[in-house]
Amino acid sequence: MSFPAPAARATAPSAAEATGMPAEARPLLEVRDLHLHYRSAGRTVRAVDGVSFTLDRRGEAIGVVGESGSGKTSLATALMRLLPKSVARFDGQILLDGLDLTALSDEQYRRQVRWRRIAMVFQGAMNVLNPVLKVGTQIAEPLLLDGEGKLDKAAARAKVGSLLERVGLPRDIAGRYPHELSGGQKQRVVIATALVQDPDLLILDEPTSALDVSIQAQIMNLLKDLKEDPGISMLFITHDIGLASDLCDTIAVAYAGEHVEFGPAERVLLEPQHPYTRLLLRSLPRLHATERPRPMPGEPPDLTAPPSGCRFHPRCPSCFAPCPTEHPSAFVLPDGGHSRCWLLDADKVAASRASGAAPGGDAG
Amino acid sequence: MTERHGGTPVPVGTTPGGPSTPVDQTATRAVGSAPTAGVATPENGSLAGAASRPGDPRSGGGQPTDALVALDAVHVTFVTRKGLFRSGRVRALNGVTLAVARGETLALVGESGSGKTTLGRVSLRLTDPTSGTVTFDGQDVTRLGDADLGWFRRRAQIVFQDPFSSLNPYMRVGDLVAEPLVIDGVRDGGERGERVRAALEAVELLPAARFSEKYPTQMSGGQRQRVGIARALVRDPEYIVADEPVSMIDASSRIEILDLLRGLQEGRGVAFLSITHDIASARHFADRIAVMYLGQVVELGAAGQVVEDPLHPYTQALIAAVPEPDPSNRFRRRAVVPGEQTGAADLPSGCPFHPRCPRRIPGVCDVVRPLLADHTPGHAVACHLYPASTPGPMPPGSVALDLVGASSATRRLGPTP
Repeated sequence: MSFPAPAARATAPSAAEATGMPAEARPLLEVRDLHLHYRSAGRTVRAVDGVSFTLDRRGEAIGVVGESGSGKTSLATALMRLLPKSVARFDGQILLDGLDLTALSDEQYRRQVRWRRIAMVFQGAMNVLNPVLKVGTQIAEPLLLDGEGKLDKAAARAKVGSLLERVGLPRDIAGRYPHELSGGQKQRVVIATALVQDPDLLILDEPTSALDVSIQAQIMNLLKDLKEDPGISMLFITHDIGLASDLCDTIAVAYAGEHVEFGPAERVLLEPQHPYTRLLLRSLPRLHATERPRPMPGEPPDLTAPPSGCRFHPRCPSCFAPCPTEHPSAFVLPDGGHSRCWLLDADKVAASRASGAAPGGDAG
Repeated sequence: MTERHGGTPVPVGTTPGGPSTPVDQTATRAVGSAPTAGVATPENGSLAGAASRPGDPRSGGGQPTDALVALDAVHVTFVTRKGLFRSGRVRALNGVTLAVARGETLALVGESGSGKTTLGRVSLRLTDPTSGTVTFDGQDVTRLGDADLGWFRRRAQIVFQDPFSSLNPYMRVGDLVAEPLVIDGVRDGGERGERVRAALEAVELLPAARFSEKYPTQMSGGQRQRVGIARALVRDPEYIVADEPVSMIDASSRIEILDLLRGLQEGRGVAFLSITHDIASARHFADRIAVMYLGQVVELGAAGQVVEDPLHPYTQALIAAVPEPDPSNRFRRRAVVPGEQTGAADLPSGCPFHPRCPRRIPGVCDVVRPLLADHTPGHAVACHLYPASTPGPMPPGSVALDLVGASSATRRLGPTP
């Protein structure tokens, strides 16, 4: 099986308006300066804080990698617009195939976008299938509702059958109840449920975290198949950067509500530009290496009071003059990705060298 | 897998400390013939010898000669309810012989339902074996009553999986760590305080005085797990079962905890049985790895050897399934074994892995249960692809006995049943 190499990225976070561009040049998903803050016990949790990225083409998968509390899941709830009542700030731009989603009312969003164009597999969803409904009924439910695209029962049954086959299950699974299925089968049913309205973008939040490693590999193979045919674009949320590399063309590294690094999987994994990414990769236990993984220094940040300047500076071995006070902007890299690190600012590095306070060496 | 039957698993009729009530013929006979009187000492080799007939290769199996904890032909069968009147049997452990050496870390790797937690609990006598023996420091602890277990409970400890539910939220850290000492009757407050401080320092909760005053809810998952480790450590044990100690805490804190446990092993000589589903971590933080599948150890050897030269098709599949960060991963499908581990309630005949095995030998793997035997010195496997695992030519009668799925228990009866 071969996949096309990721297209060279022409659009940076600060790129020109996408609307009005010809369809083929238009990215499928463009997120610009997205903020999602919550109120919690009188404080503001900055879960998504100025996130920008683009997903260029159909069948591309973006991995969002980060530790818990880095704002990965909040990004997904923002894209699905499934927001709790405690939202303090929700702004920025989300363009889906040129359509400005942020301009839609909640009702328009519900009718036109959620589940129809953007669908999601929630973390642990396999455990919340309705135990008293046959799985076929659960998958078919949205097809039988009044509204655009309503099918009659026979057509819905045929659609469910072909979906089950697509996710690698026999058609007669439709007549079974969730408790009769194994964990891997339930997760396949959940994926079929998300695909029932032929979405353009599928968001997957830790879709394999409850599964054993051999079943995880089966599900990852299924996701690879779906990415190729019918060419579903995916946003894959995980804490495991190794798992992200199994599917994703592009990787975003989330830290304290920001994406500190973004770019093609090759560059992020092999030539990471942000010290956090480097430390993250070094903290992974590698199966075929004799070198023991090294722990990440310091404690995860508090999202209600993120550190000043660069949010990673208290844990960063390369921290230098501007880091504790000045917030780094997203430096655009030649491959179209970006990294929020002052080390990429030649002027700052030179100034700090001149004053004798050279930035620390390579991370770790 | 027990939930599927809608009942809570009940250990097969055991009174605390009393002899296990046998559940089936083979187990009855196994219990009857178990060497209850004689204390098997690892040094003279009778431990392995007790379960093996002459020429049985199972006595090797990469077992250490200086065993601190030794399980010999251990079976654990749970009874589950199936509907109103029927009951089912779940063979959580099916003839496991395994030893943890003094001061080593043995990682028990397997999927959920493979029996690894049950094995850890049996080694601490928190679950009673249905048959087989558990030996600690040369003493048979299988049938000791609670009253006689005090010394063992002090020397063997557990660190639980979930630091969010295993610590009483209304107790301060200092009191949580002191609790085992109170139970041990350490009445001198000064001595207690000193030992608590030493335990907190050993797990790097510094300054200890400040952490003593905290409540668990004021701490991160990694810090809470350190409290759980300090609780185990305060009794100065020789053996600790760590049941998935890092699976509930943040990925970035995991290595620190694993480093800490490794430091305790190397610095204090504590032996660890480390239960995990993460074979990559096991490779770096354990001396040996035992791979479990459906209540049996299918491969056992030095950690690096098991990972770099896996023998059992299940181990090979497990290793192939681990995603390493590599951008070329996405261009190829993973080689996966089909299907999923069946529940231990309906154990396959012969080799437990044969229904999923890409290399099964028809007529052999589905009939005869392979024995865990040394393929190379110190690297054992239970698979018919390796000659040592296949028992010698057997009369038809004994093949039928193997179908019962209790070969090691029946084997101790003698060469020909």
